[in-house]
Amino acid sequence: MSIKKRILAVAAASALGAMAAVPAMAFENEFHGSYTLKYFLSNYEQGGGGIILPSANTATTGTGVSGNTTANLKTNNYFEQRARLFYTAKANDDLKLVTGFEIDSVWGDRAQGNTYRNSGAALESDAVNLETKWVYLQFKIPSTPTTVIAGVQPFKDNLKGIFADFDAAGVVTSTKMDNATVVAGYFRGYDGAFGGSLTTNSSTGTNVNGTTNGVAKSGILGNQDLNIGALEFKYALSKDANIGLDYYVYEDGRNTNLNTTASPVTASDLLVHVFGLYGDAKVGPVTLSGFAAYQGGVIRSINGSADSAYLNSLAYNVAAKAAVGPGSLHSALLFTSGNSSNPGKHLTGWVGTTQTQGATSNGSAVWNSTGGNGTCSYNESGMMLLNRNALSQGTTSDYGIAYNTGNGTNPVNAQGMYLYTLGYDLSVTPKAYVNTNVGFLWTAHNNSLKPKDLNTNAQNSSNFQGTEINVETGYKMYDNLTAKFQAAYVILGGYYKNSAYKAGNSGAATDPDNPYTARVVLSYAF
Amino acid sequence: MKKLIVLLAVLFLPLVALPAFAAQVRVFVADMNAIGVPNKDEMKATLQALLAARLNSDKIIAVGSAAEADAVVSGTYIVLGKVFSMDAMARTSAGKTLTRAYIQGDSSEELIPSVGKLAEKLAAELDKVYFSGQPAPGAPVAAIPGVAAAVTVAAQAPLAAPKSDIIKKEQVSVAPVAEFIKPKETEQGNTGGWQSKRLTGAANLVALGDTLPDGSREVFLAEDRRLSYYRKGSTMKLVAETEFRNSEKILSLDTITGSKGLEIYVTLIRGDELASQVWQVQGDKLVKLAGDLSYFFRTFSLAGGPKKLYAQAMGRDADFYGEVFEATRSGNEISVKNPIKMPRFGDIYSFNQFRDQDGKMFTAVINPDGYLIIYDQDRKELWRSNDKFGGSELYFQKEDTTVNARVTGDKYRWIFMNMRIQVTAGGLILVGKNDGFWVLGNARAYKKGTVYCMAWNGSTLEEKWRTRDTQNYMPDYYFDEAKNELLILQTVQRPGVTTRGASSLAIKKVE
Repeated sequence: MSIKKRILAVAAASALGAMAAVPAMAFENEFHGSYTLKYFLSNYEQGGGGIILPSANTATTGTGVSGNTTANLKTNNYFEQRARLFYTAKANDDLKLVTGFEIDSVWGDRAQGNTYRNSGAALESDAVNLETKWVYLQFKIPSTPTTVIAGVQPFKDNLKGIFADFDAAGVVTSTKMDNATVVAGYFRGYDGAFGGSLTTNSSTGTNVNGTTNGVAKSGILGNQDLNIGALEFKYALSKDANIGLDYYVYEDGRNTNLNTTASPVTASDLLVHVFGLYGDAKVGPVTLSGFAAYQGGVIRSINGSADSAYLNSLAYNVAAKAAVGPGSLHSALLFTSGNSSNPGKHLTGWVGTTQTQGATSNGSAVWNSTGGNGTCSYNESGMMLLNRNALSQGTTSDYGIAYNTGNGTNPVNAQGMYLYTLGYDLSVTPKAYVNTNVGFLWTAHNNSLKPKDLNTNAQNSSNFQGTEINVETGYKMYDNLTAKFQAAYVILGGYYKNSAYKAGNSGAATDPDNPYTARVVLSYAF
Repeated sequence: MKKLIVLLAVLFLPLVALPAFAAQVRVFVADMNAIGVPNKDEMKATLQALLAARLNSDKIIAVGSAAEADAVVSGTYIVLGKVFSMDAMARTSAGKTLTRAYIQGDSSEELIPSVGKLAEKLAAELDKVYFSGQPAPGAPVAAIPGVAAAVTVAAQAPLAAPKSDIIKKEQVSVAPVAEFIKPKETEQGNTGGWQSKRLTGAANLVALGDTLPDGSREVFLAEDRRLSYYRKGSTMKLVAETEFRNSEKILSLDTITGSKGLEIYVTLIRGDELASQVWQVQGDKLVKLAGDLSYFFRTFSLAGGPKKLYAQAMGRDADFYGEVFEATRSGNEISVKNPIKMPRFGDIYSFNQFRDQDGKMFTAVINPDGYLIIYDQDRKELWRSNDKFGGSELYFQKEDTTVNARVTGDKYRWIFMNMRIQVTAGGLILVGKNDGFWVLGNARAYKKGTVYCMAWNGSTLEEKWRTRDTQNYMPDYYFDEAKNELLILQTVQRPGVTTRGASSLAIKKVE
């Protein structure tokens, strides 16, 4: 054996020895996961996501429902499934690596070589469809009360998610001192150098240099980014009361160009500051919670003259919950402000974030929330169709009338909303429950998004978008396995009156079909 | 004939040798008189328990009554100013004095170590009396000569069952001496003590009540939503039970003697808020004394001291909020005092404290991963086990509005309860352990349980003994120190879609 080979052999043996010497007991392997199977019967839901009835220009009945232009929408029936697997490698109490993976599909969609994410349940399956949701390191800085989470991770704001509820790459620190907790975080949503913000960031960085729509790309990593910052302070006044102050900043500097015909063509960006005051308390038998939030900011190059628009918007929420009879009664109100028809240089619509990998790809909007890529939510409502309640979803289908908390498709046409909900959760037996909810949705402001009565060609006067009645009943077959039945029906309000043609693109007008959904669900979580 | 004599000699020789190896002196610590101290009754009971625990050794066993004792110890504790003196005297059951010992100290802080030293002195004297080759004064063996006498002595020694339910360290660590290693003795199941029949309902929790005049004992079992009151005589007899609302779940069950008799503290969660209740046995009925108490409750002997009621609150975000307090109840009002600051991972259900021989206080906690951690007085970690302990299938849920719901996809987060940690007056630490084939995330299905008894040797916790593995999941246990008995609850059948499941209760004498 030559001396080189000996060295190699010794090195290999040493490496193996070192591996063997790693104390296996030092690690904790933690596994969690979930599986959800849903069978849908719905007239608007089709296995994707986005706004139900998104456009003012409703040319045909059932806009937003592809391939379905009959006067009465046919019922879609389909199955969806989603599995999530989480593995955590825990070195000790203060250091762990967390990973999360997802596999989801609609039955019969695609198989084998034609598969990608969110597919792979057609005949012979064999799909390549494993999604990596999270990979992050969590550790406590020694001798400090600070915990750091670094990597691709989930994040939700303290405003019940109405501004930000997303997965993103970033660093978040959380420092706990007695009753106070301070959270500071930074996320890089996109780096404009990858693919260019005017196309999509799903490409591989081949378009780092050059121009798109006349806007020069820097080609330097980290120079034209979507940056999100968070600073949260929470204080437990007592066991029964919390108060919190929050600040979030959303800065999109990827040469976003709201108006592609602006002259001169100007590199633009979007900056939103959010200030929130949050509180929750138990007062006697009633649990109260709520927040008030203000948004200020600037959106550059908003019109053909490359002007900037300034943002001043508001949101507030109040919710109450109490044990009443054999169950619990809960009620909540959410308000977000909206824009008028021609907001000019002063925007007053609440900006709920959305995924903007194609920031201006549609040529007119920095936001693109018609396609089911929301990154804000309002789960407290308990609604299934009226707004985006991520907890009522659980699989790929992700629809809502007020899908974005701004209740529009971009920051310029956000209508805002009043959403009042009332619900009662009842435990029928220790294993069976019935939850019922009713919700009422209004736009807060009229603008161009409001549908026209096609008989009069004038916008409807009513701001009332609809009433949802829903019920979820579940039975716990085991502690970890629940069978559920969900059903929701929305009676559309005067806001949509005569806003659709009975057939085709002309002729008699009618109201769009009332949305409904019925789902049979099997949910296993461990 | 010679052969017969040799054969008989060979047969009886081990019996002659037995007393030297296996016999233990049965000692009963009777009332200790206390002079010059407040709370005399409490002090008497504490001293009695302390001395009994510290006398326990390989050669001496503390028993629960004078009737079953070879020697009875009585004593007096006198305090003059700050100085104290404690003396003890051992007599035979016939009343003849065997030995005396005393100790004194300069302050009450030295009391606990002094009890240990006094016990050592007494034990040494008793050792001389019983094991120096001389028959014990007054012992009946003197009257029976020869081999027969030896047999009698052997019969008087405690009858150690060949398969005790308590596995001592020595038994565990004996190394095989042969070249061929025999299969290890199966150490599962109940081989001794008392075992109940199948009890309807998969109980999660057990609590012990009073001993009644007829000798039967009150036992309380709790399922998720049902509290059952049994009287344990030769069998378990269900006397009364009460069912709670569908939206409620029982998280803990404890008893303590109140001003008007035994009180049963039931920690209940309703929805995701605490709504605990206090019950009492009145006649053959369970009567509710108080309700809607927003505290977690537990009664236990902190650091082996007197049993007290403790309470901890639930926060808006925190599952267990702030310190653990000593609590007293007046109607529906709970008053708290003497906060105990929790070390990391500590909460009312996962901690206890103990003192070492120098009187230093330590805290033991089972962390969420199941490791037993010992903290010093400054709540700094000193030691943690390599093995896992604790483990419970009992949980409660709280609505999760934070990012966690996004992670789990579950509207609720799961908070698992843990096994109790008990500390005896002698500073021994008892902790339960469940083991399972299927413990993955929130899906828990344990299959066997054990109770461990450990002692702090100054640097680590050393195992003193442990029980045999149960055949089933062990949701709860309770050590009745006064009677030296261990109550072990087992789930013999888990609840199903239409059935309540079933439990059994075993009572083992700790020798």
